[in-house]
Amino acid sequence: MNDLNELKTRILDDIRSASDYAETEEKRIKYLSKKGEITLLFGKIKDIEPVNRKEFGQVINDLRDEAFEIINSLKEKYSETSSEDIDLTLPGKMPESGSYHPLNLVKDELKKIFRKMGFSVAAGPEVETEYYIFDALNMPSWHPARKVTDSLYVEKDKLLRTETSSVQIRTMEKGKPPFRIISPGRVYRNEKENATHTAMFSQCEGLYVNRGVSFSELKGTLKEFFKALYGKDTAVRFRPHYFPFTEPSAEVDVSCFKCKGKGCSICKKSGWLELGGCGMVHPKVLENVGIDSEEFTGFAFGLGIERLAMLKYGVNDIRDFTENDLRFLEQF
Amino acid sequence: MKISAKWLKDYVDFEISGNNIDDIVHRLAILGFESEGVEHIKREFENFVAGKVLECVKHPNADKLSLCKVDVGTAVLPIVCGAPNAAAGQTVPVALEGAKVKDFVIKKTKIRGEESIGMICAEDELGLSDDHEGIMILDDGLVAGTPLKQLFGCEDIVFELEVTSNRADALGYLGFAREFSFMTDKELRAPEVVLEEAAERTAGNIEIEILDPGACPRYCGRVIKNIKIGESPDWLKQKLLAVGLRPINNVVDITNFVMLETGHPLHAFDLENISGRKIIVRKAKIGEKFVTLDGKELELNDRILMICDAEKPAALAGVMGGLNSGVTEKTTDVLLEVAYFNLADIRETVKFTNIHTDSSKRFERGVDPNDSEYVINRAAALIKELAGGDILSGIADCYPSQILPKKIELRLSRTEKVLGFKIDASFIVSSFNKIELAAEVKDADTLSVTVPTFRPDITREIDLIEEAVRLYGYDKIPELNISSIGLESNEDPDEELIDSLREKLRNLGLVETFSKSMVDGKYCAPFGKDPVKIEHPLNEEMNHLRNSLLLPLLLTADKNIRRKVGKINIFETGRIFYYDKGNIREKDSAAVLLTGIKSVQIWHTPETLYDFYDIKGIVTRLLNDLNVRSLEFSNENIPAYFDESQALNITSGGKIRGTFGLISKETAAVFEIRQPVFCFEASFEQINDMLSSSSTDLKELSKYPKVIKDISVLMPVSESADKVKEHIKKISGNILEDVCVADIYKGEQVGSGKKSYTFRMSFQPYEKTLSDKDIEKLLNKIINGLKNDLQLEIR
Repeated sequence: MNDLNELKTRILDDIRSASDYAETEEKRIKYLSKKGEITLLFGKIKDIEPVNRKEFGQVINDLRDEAFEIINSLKEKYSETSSEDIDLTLPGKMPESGSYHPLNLVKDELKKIFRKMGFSVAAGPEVETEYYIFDALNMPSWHPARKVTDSLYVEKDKLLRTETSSVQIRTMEKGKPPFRIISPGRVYRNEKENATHTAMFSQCEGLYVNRGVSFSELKGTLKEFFKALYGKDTAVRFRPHYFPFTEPSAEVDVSCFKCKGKGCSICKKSGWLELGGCGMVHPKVLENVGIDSEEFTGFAFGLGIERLAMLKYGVNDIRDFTENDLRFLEQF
Repeated sequence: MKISAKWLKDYVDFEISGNNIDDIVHRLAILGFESEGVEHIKREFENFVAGKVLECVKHPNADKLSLCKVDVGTAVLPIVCGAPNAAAGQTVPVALEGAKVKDFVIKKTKIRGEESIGMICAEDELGLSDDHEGIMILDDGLVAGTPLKQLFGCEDIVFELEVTSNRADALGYLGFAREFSFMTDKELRAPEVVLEEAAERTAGNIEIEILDPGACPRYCGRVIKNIKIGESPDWLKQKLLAVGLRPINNVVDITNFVMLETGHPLHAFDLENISGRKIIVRKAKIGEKFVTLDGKELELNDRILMICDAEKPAALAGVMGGLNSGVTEKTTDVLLEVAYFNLADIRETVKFTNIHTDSSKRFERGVDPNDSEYVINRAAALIKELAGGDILSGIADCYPSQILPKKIELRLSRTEKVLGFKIDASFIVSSFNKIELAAEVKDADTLSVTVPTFRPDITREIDLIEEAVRLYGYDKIPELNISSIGLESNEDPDEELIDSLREKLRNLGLVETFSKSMVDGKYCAPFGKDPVKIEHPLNEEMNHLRNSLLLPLLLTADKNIRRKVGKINIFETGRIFYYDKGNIREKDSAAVLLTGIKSVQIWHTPETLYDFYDIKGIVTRLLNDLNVRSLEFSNENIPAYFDESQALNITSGGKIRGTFGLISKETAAVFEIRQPVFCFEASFEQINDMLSSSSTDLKELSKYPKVIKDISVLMPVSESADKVKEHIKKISGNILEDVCVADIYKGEQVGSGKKSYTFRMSFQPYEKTLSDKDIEKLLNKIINGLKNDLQLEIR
């Protein structure tokens, strides 16, 4: 029995002598694996005289448990990297982060601002009929956009929408004023592609129809929007323009966010950036969807999302947005 | 529309200079005329003179050159000239030593051994036009040595103005000057026409018949006989050159000048070529042939309006003259045409012929039918002045039904309502009158406005409201805030889900892409759904609409693999399009693609590649985050573009709600991708159907310790982990909190066709601490269950 106790001391001391994780594992294999010294002791129980068996069993059981305990505590100790081992200059283990597409970043920003101003985000089909794209919008029969060669048709009287204005018509058809929506989305033109034109691009159009909606509110709304986008000291300028679906109509210039109107390369020295078109919904358009144009008035506006994104991120070629080069996208 | 400041000054006495130009550009923009460019023209012609070619012989050493002796007043210079039209006796522009031609300075030189001092110039070398067909020939009356500055020297500012398509009136100097006069508050001065008519009457010399008065409501003709075609005087040439028009001859130049001045295009025929001395305005016959001024032969149809003589077509009405009816050097008698055509008919011709001219541009937008007398008399008087001849008495005017000015009422209250602020009635009346909208007060709220026929864009009250605010000043419109309209919302129901899904995917480390909806049809085939074709695609790469979002993602993956991007982990949301029982369907969808290196080797981790478990993990995480409670997967009816052995459908309620897994080799090959690609696609409709609205049920936390136990199960390779897990759950009951696969082992020790899975179970008691015995009992129960029920071996 003394032998046994001696053996126990020797084994436990030997285990304790392990100086690192690997050595500790070696000791575990040496003593506790299937063919380990301690494991093998259990096989010897049957050789012990029956009267001593219980005691023997007790001792080797304790030995096994103690050995386990020491090994586990040593392993715990050695696996905890001690502070001397930390190389502070190695990079941290960063959780992965993805990225949003720049056009959607801009779109999300527009949605956020307009939602705060009480606009809802509306959607509609991208394949539309001529009625929703042209007729309902007071587009004269001779308008160039109506040419089969200027739009992308998929069937007779079915074409990819050239404006998201069709969403405005569908929204107004479905309900009763007031309406206050924006309809960001893709639009399509049969256009040769170059650095500033693509056959598919994104617009964000807005519509507000109610009693007493005025041209001045349109200007105020766009000013608030651009202030939210480009900062408090942003100014908005209206210039008269012609669109068949609005009257009075205007083109919207915004003071250059870069040079604050002094003139720089971004605004081509003018101090202004042309960023959209707008106007009071033409009475005929309201009449086309059964709204009394004497009782209700409305305004509408359209912004080009690619243009905003190109300005914001300094992208010079519009085609970069749909190229989906991951080296480009990962920067956002 | 190009506006020369110098020319504009003929009609409005206002000086535009370098000092006020920015202000003018701004004020014009506010009035509705945006400048697309402002050009300062300064032609000094330093060291350029008129010279007389005394002698012109062939260069001894060069076939295409000639040797000239040119009298330049102060000397006779030898000049080597390359122009084929050089000849003795000509008066020509000469650049003397020191003159700057384009970018080089003229110096004394030798050309092929012959001395040359100076250069005889073509028009383009003088900066007068783009013409380089030969040297420019000047008026013989000029004295040798006359500085060219006297002839062509000028200083001018030319605006390139955008005139919106509704404003036909502003496409002429007089119309624009009307606006400019309002803007600068200076009087508008239209040139007075003093006409000296001969005794001979127009009536016997030309007869006009309009067969289609709908298409041509008015046609005026005038005949001028015995004219002499020649060069235009310098003042006229300079005006045309300033706006980029090349002078041709006096008569043609005058028609161009009067068109630019009045905005009303006119045409001059050689009367000799008008057979039967008769003009017939009619639609072409189907198949009728016509050769345009620039030699293009057209085969016409019955929608094209033509100006014809007694025998044949002479001009495409309002668009372009014919090759054989125009004015030539030999012309002595001309017929001037000033007509008014229906806008739609001119557009029809332009659309059919694809010929766009200064004339068609104006007729398409609508000219004034009632200024025809003024226009034709102005041109006739100028022709007599510059080309001589006799203006026959009277206008041959065919105007069967007169077009009258409209009267429209404008309510002040309505104006205020639309604009959101008040403009004084007195301001509206006086401003309107300044631009010739005759306005008078009808009652306290109403103005009655007579709209002249040169403003066809004004047809109803709203058009007058726009005019009122335009004249008032768009820069003075106040900025008002909109008021709240309550909670009524027209929000699209999918919108929030789309954004929430995008946010989750991005937070899972994926990169969002944005692809064209148009694709090459050959890529649609693998995805089964009947794709939508585009009728007139720009190119083959855009001849269909995408019928799956995997399509653009696979294209993007291919492009980035070619760029040697190792890690491709992308997602996209957007529409897909396909035919469903003959109808076009559009569905908002979402898709994810993973391929290549998941993580590069770095000090703490070895390089790993994306595999099936990554896409499964992302899908599971995504759906869990979206609050999909019970996820079910099935590998039945996997779409063919996935590899059946590594793909699963997400199912709920017996319906497929999306698919994820490895893209089949055949599909990947269509996109020329040769590495494993893992994808997920579902429509928002499918995702929406899975969402549960119930909130999370919180679990009670136990006071008793959790016990974790492993068992290793030896099983055939074909056996799934899920089956074993389900059985363990069934046997253990509620006490089992979780079971997962902690380790997988395949290899010699377990033998072929077998694998060993280590299941790690966590038991969580709620009523007492588990004793060793309890645990042993539980484990035995599980082991026996697996042995007996599933015939598995426990290691």
